[in-house]
Amino acid sequence: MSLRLDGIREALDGVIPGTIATCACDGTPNVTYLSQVEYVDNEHIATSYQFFNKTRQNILENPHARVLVVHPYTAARYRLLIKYLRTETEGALFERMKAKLAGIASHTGMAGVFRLRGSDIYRVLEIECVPGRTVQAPPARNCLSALRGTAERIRVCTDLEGLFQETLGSLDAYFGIRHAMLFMLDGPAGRLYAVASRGYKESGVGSEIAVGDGVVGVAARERTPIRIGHMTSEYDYGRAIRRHIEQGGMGVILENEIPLPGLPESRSQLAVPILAAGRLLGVLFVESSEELRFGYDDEDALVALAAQLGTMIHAQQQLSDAPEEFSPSETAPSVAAGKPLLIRHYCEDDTIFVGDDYLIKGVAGSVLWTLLCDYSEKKRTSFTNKELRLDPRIHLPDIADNLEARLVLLRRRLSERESHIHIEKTGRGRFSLAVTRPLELMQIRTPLIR
Amino acid sequence: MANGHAFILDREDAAFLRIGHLSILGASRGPDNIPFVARAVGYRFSTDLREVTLFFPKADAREMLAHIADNGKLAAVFSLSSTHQSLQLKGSDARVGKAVKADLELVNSYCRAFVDHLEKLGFARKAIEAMLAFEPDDLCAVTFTPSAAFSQTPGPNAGRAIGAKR
Repeated sequence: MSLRLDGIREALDGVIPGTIATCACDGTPNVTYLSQVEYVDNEHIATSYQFFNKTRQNILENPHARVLVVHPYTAARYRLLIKYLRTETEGALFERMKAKLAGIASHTGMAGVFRLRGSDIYRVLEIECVPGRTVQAPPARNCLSALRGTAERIRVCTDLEGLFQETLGSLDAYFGIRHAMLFMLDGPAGRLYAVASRGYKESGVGSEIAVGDGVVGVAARERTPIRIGHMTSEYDYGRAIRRHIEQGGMGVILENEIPLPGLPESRSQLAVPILAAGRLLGVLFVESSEELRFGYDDEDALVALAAQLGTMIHAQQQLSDAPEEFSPSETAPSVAAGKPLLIRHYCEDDTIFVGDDYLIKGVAGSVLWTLLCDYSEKKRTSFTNKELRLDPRIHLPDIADNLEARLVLLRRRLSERESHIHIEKTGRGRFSLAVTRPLELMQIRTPLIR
Repeated sequence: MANGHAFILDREDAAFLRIGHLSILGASRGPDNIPFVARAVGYRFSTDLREVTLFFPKADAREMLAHIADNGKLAAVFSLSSTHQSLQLKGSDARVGKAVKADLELVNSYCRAFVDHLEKLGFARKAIEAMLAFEPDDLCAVTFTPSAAFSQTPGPNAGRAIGAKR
């Protein structure tokens, strides 16, 4: 075929809805609108199967169909001759279409009407460009050039924190994406925690989302990008979080939850899983208050970026676990003056309060408690990632857990909360602790009262 | 009449079809039952709604016109973009005719109304105008007598037969 499917993907996005013509065995044609056409690969598309209607009945009898789609900006029309192959009812493609359909349903006032029962996969046999007038498309951002700029900027990063910041900074500088978050996976807990963000009033670093919840959680669970042009409350991560909280009990106020940041009027969202060596490491999430802000090209670029990011995160983690071969002399603890600062540690989930303020919980909480105990008891200030990984007091959930990412999170929380406790990197896989107030450590074995 | 019977729509469906800015797509099928789809750029109903004429640019609908000449089968979906209310008419006596001057005026008037309607919904006017653009001497008329009608509004009732035969 002279026209390639990947060259007309924008027309599949359904801004101007597509139509499908089918034919019954008795030779009666049928024509109807399509709520969704999904690009699968260069030879396949998928449409949403929502109801057992005439179209469905026809394609099961006679698999040939024709689809007419329109490019939203140029008005170029493409007629596709397609052949029905099969229906998928689970998996990455299904989840991607389900999330998108929920957005379309909400946008078109069809929430509660549209429900994906399956993804009907078709082979594309012919693509015809319908003769007629077109208009010039507005100049588009060159995603490939933006990706190159980003790749060149992040490849020089030598630590995770810098990598995270440079990635989000590059999204802004090269892609014009102002609102973004990076989540890392806590596998055994089935949760993702935010390690970096950009463009929000509160950073939200340390906030969590369950795998499977919202756009971010579904992208993680299915290991597939989820891109929505008309945001819906069904996939809104803020709502997902609220639901999670509500399930904990009526009227319960969680003292140890960090609120997720987010655009109040988010219209477009894209969540891309970060994978390396066959494992899910986290999710890169971007959003915008503009409808249909992210297209197929943005999705491709961010998937490619996530691949580089995954490799770099994986490499940084391994490097951090092997500290540089020098042993800095133990620096004298910094002068701690003033009223003692009460640090409470709840053993149940390693929740840490600094004074009256919640700081962190989980692995990062357990790391901080260990550091503070060694600081108080042994006056230690220098530590390595390697010794922490081996320390039985720290309950790392997984041998492959990204300890360095936990330390990035901890450093950010300590710095944002002005907690009088600071962690600074002193070399690869090494860091030091500085405390500017006397500490009073309190271990609490009873569960945190909520 | 080729179908041997007329098709009666209730008042509500009849009123719907008289809206001047519905989106219309036609489908035909070839001898191998492979279907074809094309957008109509205008439509006209007889006063009693028993006969429908759709206008297509020939350059776009060439294959459909060949199908119609061969078997007369046609399906057409009429949809109001603002509500997604849709209705499909089917017939088997379609025939291709010439568009006359009065038809051209009708089509131009339809295109303006449709573009206005879609612009109000946030679509780019120029893109919709281009989507409907045609050469006046390339216009043809396809006329048929609906023998079946179906609700096509998205939802579980999509595809339900409507109207009554008399």
